[in-house]
Amino acid sequence: MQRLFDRDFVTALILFCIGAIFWVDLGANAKDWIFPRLATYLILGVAVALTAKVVFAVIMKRLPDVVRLAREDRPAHIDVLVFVVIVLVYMFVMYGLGFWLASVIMTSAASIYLTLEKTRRNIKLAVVVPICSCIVAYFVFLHVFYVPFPEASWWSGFM
Amino acid sequence: MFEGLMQALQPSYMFWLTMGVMIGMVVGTLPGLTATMGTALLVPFTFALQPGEGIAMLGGLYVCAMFSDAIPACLVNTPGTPAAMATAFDGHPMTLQGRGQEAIVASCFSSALGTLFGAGCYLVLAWPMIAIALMFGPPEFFWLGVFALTIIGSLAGDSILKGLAGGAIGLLISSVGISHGNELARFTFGIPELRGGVSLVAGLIGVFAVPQVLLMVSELRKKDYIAEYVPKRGVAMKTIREVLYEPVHFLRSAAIGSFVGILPGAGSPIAAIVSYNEAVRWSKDSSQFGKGDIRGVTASEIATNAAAPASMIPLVTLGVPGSSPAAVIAGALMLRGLNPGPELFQTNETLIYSFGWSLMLAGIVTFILGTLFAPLLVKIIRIPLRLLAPLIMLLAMIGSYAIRNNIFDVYIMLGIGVFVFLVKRLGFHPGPIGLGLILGPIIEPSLIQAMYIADATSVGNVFFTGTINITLITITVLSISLVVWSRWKDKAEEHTSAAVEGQSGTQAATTKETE
Repeated sequence: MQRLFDRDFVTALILFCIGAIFWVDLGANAKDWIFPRLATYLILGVAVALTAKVVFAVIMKRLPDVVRLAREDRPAHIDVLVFVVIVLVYMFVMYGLGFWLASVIMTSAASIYLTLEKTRRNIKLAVVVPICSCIVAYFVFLHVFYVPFPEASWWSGFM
Repeated sequence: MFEGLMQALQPSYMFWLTMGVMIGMVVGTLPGLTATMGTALLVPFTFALQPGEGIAMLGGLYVCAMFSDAIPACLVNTPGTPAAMATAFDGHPMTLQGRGQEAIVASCFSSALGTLFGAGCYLVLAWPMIAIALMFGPPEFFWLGVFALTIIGSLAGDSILKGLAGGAIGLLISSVGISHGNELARFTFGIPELRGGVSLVAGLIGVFAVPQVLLMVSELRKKDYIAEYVPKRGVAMKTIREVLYEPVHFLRSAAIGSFVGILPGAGSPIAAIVSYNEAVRWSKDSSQFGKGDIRGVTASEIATNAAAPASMIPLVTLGVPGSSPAAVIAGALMLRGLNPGPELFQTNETLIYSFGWSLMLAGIVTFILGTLFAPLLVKIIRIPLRLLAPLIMLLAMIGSYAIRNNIFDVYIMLGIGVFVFLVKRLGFHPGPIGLGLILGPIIEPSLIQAMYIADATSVGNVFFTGTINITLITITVLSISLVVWSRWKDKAEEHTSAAVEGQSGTQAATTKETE
């Protein structure tokens, strides 16, 4: 069972999936497809080589190099997951609130969540620093470099 | 040439040059703002200046952006522009070891040296160099790209197979969008936005910045900052001496940078990658590359900055820009009624030479400003991770959006970032994936153009004849053989030392038992 979580075996599976996804979409014309075709062959070739390596390790009864999710690392994984969720929500909310307001909310929310010692001073910092950074970025990118960021659709005309 | 120097040293020229350098510092430091974008945005401001002052300002921006892109690369493992990818390989490990200031001073000083060398080539060797560059056609570019791919051997980490797979994934991502052959839409999977392909900058931000941010978040409970930093006295002088003690390394990197710089379309990223690869290959002890070797930073920075002035050589000699910022500078000249090319050399020789001197002076100004600000810049790593991670994520979003003003690029960047973060746990190194992304758009068009040429003759004639092709194929094969041999040697040494340790352990146990 542990073999199924062997680093090389998991890698081979992922590579087979990637190779298959791109393989299905490959066309016939040589000039258009030769380059991606070679890259796909390479990925599938590596996947086969890694599978062979795992089979060889099983035959030789070598210990598998298992991907472990240690219990003590669980809070760190949850932090990453929550952070990614905040970013995904931000991507969705951005259309409604506009880029800059959504950015202020995302950076502040993420900073507050990542502040482990939630003292009054730390929370203040977690709000003030992102707001100031967003204001600076707003002026630099919008008024100096003229980058047109998505505007709010829930109330049009807002930033 | 002397008149050009006198003109470049005029206070007004120096003032606008310094302004360009300072703007370049901001442009290079912010991921997503490229030197091309910076020079393009600055062009309208140059209309109010003398043509010489205007292009000195644009040149200053370009040169400094090529240095300052190393700052985020070293400190937070996020290349400011694609050219700084190779700098991050060793620059960031140096920062993690508490040598952030050293990394910045090294990149700053080597950038200045590279610029001086490249600008020297511009002033003295423009015509002979261009004669060699003209011998490069699509097949030669193809082999140059393939040769640059051999760096995967040094970047792959523990598993060369995973390095190869990473490189192939990068190449595949780069091939998404309209093909170079018959302009077919490839790998769009029914998503119309993918027809435009994956933006290189968004892809690179995804490969390097997002996994770094997620790593920061995951390490938050173990440490407060990226790395400890204790300011030390004399770091700048020590680092400068260290860079100067490697003259062969400097000359090799600068020569590679200058030569790749004059090849139109190759650009600074490929110069940095080839130079890094050669630094690893020629080093007596290459074990520290990728783990914080100062030579990794200097190899990349010298080449990148030598390539910047050198990319102006085809512009002033043939009227063909060697890089995107050079194309913008060409546009700025043309808007003033000055058509770059051999004619301009004859009609406005002083302007051409004063531009060359300005590029050289830009290197010196960049070095002074960079060294002055280095201790200040390094303090970024003392910003608590809980505040830094969301801010870098925001910059990554802005950077990937700003290139094409396309929100889809942000999704792509996030997707690639999360993917790279996950596969890093399986032993993948982000370097080969980034390398594939950079080299794909160079290798594929060259391959297809060469195939069109081969239609008229034969594949063998196009790809396997000619001195440059044979030389590039030979050094590619040698490079691959060297990687295989050194890996085999390392493994053999590991086995021997493990066997010796096992033997001594058994002996010690036997002695203990006897006692």
